[in-house]
Amino acid sequence: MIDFNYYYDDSIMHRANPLLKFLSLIIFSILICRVKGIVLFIISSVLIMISILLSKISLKRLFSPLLRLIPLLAAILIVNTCFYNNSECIYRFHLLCLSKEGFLQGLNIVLRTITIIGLSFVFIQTTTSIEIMDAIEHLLLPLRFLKIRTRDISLIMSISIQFIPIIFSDFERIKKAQVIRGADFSDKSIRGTIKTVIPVVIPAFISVFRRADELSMAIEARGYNSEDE
Amino acid sequence: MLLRLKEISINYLPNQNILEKIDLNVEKGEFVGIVGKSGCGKTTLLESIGGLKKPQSGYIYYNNEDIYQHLFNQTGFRKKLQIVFQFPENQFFEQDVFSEVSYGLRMLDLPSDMIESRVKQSLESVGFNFELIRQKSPFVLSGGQKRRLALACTLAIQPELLLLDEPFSGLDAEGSKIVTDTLINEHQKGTTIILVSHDPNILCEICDRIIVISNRKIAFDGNPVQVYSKKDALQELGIIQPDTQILTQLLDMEQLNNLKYDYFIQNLIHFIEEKA
Ligand SMILES: Nc1ncnc2c1ncn2[C@@H]1O[C@H](COP(=O)(O)OP(=O)(O)OP(=O)(O)O)[C@@H](O)[C@H]1O
Ligand SMILES: [Mg+2]
Repeated sequence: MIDFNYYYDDSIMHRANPLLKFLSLIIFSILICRVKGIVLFIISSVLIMISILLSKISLKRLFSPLLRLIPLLAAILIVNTCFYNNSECIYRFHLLCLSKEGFLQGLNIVLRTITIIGLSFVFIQTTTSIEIMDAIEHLLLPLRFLKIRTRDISLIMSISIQFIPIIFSDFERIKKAQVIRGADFSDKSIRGTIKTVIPVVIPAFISVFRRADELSMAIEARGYNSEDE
Repeated sequence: MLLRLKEISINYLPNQNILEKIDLNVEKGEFVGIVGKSGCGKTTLLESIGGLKKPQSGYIYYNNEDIYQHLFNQTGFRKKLQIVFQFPENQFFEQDVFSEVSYGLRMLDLPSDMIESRVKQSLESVGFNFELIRQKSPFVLSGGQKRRLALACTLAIQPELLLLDEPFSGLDAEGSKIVTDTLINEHQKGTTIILVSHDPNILCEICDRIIVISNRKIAFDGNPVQVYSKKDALQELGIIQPDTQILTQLLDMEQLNNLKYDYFIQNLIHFIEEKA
């Protein structure tokens, strides 16, 4: 399983101001979407290299979540190469039109996706959820003048982020228990899949709702107040 | 030999073994209790034995067959070994109690009349009235009732080897008593049981062998008296002794050769009479 969690370590990136990291992530993501071609390639490589150097995250760990995306990335590349309109076709067959422009366009998208996911991964692995919450809260501060409860919004966002790994581990645990009870996860047919999905999804939903319920009670019991500073 | 662990090492992260080179043999008909501090790897060990977490090294043999080997018969294994995980009531998903208990049996493709009789038998063995409970939703039961239902789901499979992870946590005295009685009953029918629990009093009452896990290894392995009489060593490992043993040592009584409560009381009366 991919670990989306904060990964404890000590590095420049870990110690950096979370708001600064969050803003840089957004700015670099926008930048990456604006450039293309060789410039994109250079900026991407430099950004990834700097992130690795500053965060002490190994190349292997950084790219492991991307391995699962290979089918998607390959599909993007193929679809672009085959169906990129308004370009010269190297080979044409009805709607299909193989083109160099399409291929380059696909390559741009793939490169952007990889870089943005890589940078986000570095951000998540080097920033605790509390720091993320603080950063979001700061960003939303201007909305206060519009009488919007920014503290609620940032709390909701940070809880959602924290819930992701919990839901994953719930899933794993329930799956193991149902395997012992006889669920057959090796049956990949549609009927077999439906038969095994229900025993996992229903308990997982119940557990998520129960956790949410408990959490909201705990938050209130500790005197949470959205108007507070 | 029913179960044999040979030099198994398990980790979640490379080079950080949770258990290291564990050797363990369990004979048919044994009732084994496992204790150890929180986080020492008890649940992980049960998962490994159940075929859910492959050890990084070493072998696990069930009836002399390597359970992680490619050709091992998984379906057959599911009929023989069952695990009751911690808070097993969180795995319910059916609409009524009958379907919940019969789920495992249906997965094993048993004939329906056999399913019905097995469900009835297992629900009754945990103290339910079959006709009253069969159509209820599992979700409306009380905490203790849910735990008993979860146990019934497992017993319906009629396993040869039953593993339980903290089955008493969150139960009141009465609930614990029903679960304990059910386990004693199953053991008498010939089921081999491995039980993880933090409660030394219950373990002494029902187990005939105690295993202490500490520092990635098995620290002690023996009958309850052999293990629990080692006061200083246990204290060092942070393992609590049962009340009967603590009192025996406190009163300077002669070491009991059985730590069950009834036996202790008898000896205590004897001891007081002698002193008087
Ligand atoms: N899925 C997992 N991924 C990573 N580490 C894990 C995972 N499951 C358990 N661990 C780690 O393995 C160690 C042993 O866990 P385990 O649950 O087996 O302990 P335990 O003895 O059952 O504890 P407890 O008495 O609290 O139930 C713990 O340090 C835990 O952090
Ligand atoms: Mg455990």
